Amino acid sequence: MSHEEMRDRLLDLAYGELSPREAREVEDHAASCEGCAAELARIRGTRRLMAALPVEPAPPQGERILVAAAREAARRRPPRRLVPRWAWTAAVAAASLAAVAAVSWRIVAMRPGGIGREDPQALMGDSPYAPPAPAGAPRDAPPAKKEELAAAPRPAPESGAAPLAERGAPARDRVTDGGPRRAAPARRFAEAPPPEAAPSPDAAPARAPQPEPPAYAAAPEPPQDAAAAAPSPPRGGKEGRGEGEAPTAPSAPSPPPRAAPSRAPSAPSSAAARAQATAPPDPVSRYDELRRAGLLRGEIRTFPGCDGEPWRKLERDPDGRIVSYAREGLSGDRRVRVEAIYDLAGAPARVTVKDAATSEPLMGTKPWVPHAAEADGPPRCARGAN
Amino acid sequence: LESDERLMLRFQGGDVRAFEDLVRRHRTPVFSFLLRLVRERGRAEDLCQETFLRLVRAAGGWQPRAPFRTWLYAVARNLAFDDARRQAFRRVEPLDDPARAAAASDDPAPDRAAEAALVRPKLEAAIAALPDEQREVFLLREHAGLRFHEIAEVTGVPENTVKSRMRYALEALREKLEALGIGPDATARSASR
Repeated sequence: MSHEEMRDRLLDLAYGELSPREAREVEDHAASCEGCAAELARIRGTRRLMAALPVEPAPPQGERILVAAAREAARRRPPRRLVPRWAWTAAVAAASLAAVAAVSWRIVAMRPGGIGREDPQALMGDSPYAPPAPAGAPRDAPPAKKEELAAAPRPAPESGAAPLAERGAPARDRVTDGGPRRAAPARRFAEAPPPEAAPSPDAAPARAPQPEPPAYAAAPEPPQDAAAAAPSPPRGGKEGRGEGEAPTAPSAPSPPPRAAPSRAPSAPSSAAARAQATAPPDPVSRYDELRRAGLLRGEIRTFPGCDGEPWRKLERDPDGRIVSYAREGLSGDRRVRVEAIYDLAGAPARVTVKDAATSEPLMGTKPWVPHAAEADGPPRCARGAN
Repeated sequence: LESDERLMLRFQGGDVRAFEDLVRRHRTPVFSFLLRLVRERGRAEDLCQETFLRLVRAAGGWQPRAPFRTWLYAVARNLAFDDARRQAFRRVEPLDDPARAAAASDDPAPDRAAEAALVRPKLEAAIAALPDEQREVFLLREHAGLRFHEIAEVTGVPENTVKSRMRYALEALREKLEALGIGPDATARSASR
């Protein structure tokens, strides 16, 4: 630093406005420069002289007036924003982003899942995001159809069993229930009141506006969904389980990790256990074993008026786990059938696609990619493609 | 010690006690600055009061962008500046003009107490004799405690100009005090009491 620069900084040094390092530099320079040392002494000397001048105290009488004025101003002033304007703007922007994200997520969630998804309601076309019923599609299912397509040769249900058409409604019909459409089947099991329980008066009007029962057919064995339908008065009292199974039995812990609804061991549970114990680990063999033992319980659902996809079918083992799933529909102008066998964990172990008329395998041909089969989507009547 | 800015924000939120703290902290230095700037007690009192009333009125929109003291002294200085322009039309010599008081007490006192009492008017007279732009810089630095760059903000001139004015002011004060017979010894004795 030059002499002139050092000299310019003498004032800053005298008033303590230099950093410690700069102050040391200027002090060192002043110690070796007679002119700068003299000027620094004059500045400091004058400051010392003037420091003897005391501060003039302000007159006390004005203070009260000021405080009164401040109190009045504070009273009239609107309260200061606790959140600064920029923070408020940022919060609004964040909320908008969150809303966009939520809508986007919902749109993504509306895409039907793959065939591996073990949600019986969705697999049966009861997607919570199901579109409105196809125009002109009759709602009631012809009861004869369920008989033809029943998969498991089970005894006929007890007389108290609910009409099959009442068991489960397609999603579009259940909208009118006012109930939680997305409730997991297991949860609905837990909430289902026993048949002895009087139908909830609150629930009665909810079911009343459903004059046309949906086309939801089932195999002779009442599906587990019966318990889910229990809160509805017209069904709750009649929703018995076949083969003397106690409807009030709590849900037994379900071995599979998926959310498949479990059910209490019923009459054939010992046979089921034997079949289970002897069943080979191969899911296909296990399925065949259960089928041979007559332990499968089927649920079938038809979509009358829906040419693109007339029916879907589920089969469960005695513990309520889904072991097979099938659906039939149009792919282009060809009628095809998709069949899936599930392992114990609920993942599809084998998926086959066949020509519905000839049973000729179609796997590998357009568009049959199992995971893209959109198994749990709503029925695709309009698209005419399975 | 709670910062001035924090107190001001509290006052914005309606806390009058915060304003009282600000008044107690700054009223005397501001008054002292104004008194030596305008050299008339009555005017200084009015200007000081007006300064704090401005603070009350401006509190709602105050933003902590600059140090509170810089803002406060800018208000006080501008009020004094405007007042000085109005006063220029009616030049009235103030009765308690420190320069007159200093001139009237030229004789040295016989004892040290009297000597100390005599030093102060001379110091006042030395300040009063400074040109306005030097006096305000000197007072803002010595009495208000603003740094040079803050004084530059208050007065609206470059910092180098502020420092030049400060050097001239110090040199003028030293010469004036020497002329009034006040040297380092006298102030040292006065300061030791």
